[in-house]
Amino acid sequence: MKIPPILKIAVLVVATTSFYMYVGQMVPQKEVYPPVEVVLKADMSPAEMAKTGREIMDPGFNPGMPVINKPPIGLTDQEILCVIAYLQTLGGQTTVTMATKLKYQAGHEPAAGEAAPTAAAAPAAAPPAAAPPVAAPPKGKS
Amino acid sequence: MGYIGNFVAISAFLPLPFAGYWLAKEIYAFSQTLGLTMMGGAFSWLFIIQAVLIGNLFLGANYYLWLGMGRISGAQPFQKYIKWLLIAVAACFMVWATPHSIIATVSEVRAMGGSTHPILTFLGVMSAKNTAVNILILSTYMSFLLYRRTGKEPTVTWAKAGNAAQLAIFTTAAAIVIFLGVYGYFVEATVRIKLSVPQVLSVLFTMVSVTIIDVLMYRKARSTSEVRWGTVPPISQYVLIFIAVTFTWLMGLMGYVRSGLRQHWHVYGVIRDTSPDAFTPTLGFATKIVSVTVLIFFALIGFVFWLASLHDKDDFAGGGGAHA
Repeated sequence: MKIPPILKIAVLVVATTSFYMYVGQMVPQKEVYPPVEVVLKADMSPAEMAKTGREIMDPGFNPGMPVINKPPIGLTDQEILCVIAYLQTLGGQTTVTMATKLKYQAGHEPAAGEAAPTAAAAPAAAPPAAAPPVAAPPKGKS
Repeated sequence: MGYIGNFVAISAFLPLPFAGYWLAKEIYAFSQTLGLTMMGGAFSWLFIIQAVLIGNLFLGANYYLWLGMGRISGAQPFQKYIKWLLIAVAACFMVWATPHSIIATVSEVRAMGGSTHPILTFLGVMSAKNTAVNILILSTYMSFLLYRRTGKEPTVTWAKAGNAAQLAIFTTAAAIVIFLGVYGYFVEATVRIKLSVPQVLSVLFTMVSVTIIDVLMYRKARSTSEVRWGTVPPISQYVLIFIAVTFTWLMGLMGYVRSGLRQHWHVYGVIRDTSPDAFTPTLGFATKIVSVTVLIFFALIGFVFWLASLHDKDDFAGGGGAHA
């Protein structure tokens, strides 16, 4: 039986389209919703601020940064310590040394009272007492 | 007609990856957040689908040229290169479609020591992808050049030198592209991004300079064999339709990213979309919509062809007959 060319063309068009649609189903699926606006009070305690901050970051907040100690950036642990030291100088006192073990490193056993090296050394500045409520920055759900 | 159609499509297609990189650069310059959303966020997987589409376009376009060479009896000397071009195109396609982080189960992630594969992750970065796309373009251009030369013999006295110059330009460009691609792994990101410029420029220079040499060299070329028009294998016509469907689907997908990239903004960062529909659907949903649109489009094209085919049929002669 001879298949008419028009039928072959129709099958080709549908098959090609279906294949690309199939590829589209294979990749991770994520629906991105607009950020929810959060009204922040001027007299929030640090704990409340941290809780709100966590809600802004989670879930699935896109950090926009690749894994820093993997290729292609691939910083060494020593380089990461130096970057942490620099960041700490921006807001307070440097607490890391080249001997500091980072949290993800094997064998890391935080000593009693040891500050997490990634924590900012400077205390968070309290918001002005008279500051009006402000809208939080966009909270990415993506 | 098929050859002209394919020629126009390839000519318009080859500069598009350059235009894409330029547009991405402008988007990053406008807003890094927008750039990161595009390349590293919700839309990053869209570009893997795009790579599959563009890889298929390159494969289809090359395959049509190779089939077209078969209708010219003097093609045999060039046909031995086809397998090497196919290897180059396929290898570049694979590199381009390799994601940086792969979809894996929890046990697979544990076995790999992270979401990135220990080896494949090196192919999922821009150094590898830039190199792949540039080699892909060079390979396709080489296919076109071989097709163009088939059945012709240059008569100019400097033909040997011209061929040598073309080969030298091709080799140098490929070496520059590959060297800069490998070098990109050993430098910081700010330097690496700038390496794509000389890669692109070397490929563009090759295409322009080799074309000029070729046009001058084959201006009064002697025809060594006849083109047997109409003898190209029937599958070539299906390849052309495959290319047309892929192009249309690609346009639909890029329409989705253009619109979706604005996220919940009518004008990004200026006028916010406050409607309940201000969300970005999943890639799977978008690809279904694109597919339905493509099918409707081709159904309409089929309708137009059917209408045109009525011209070849006998006029309707029923009823009261034709007026004078």
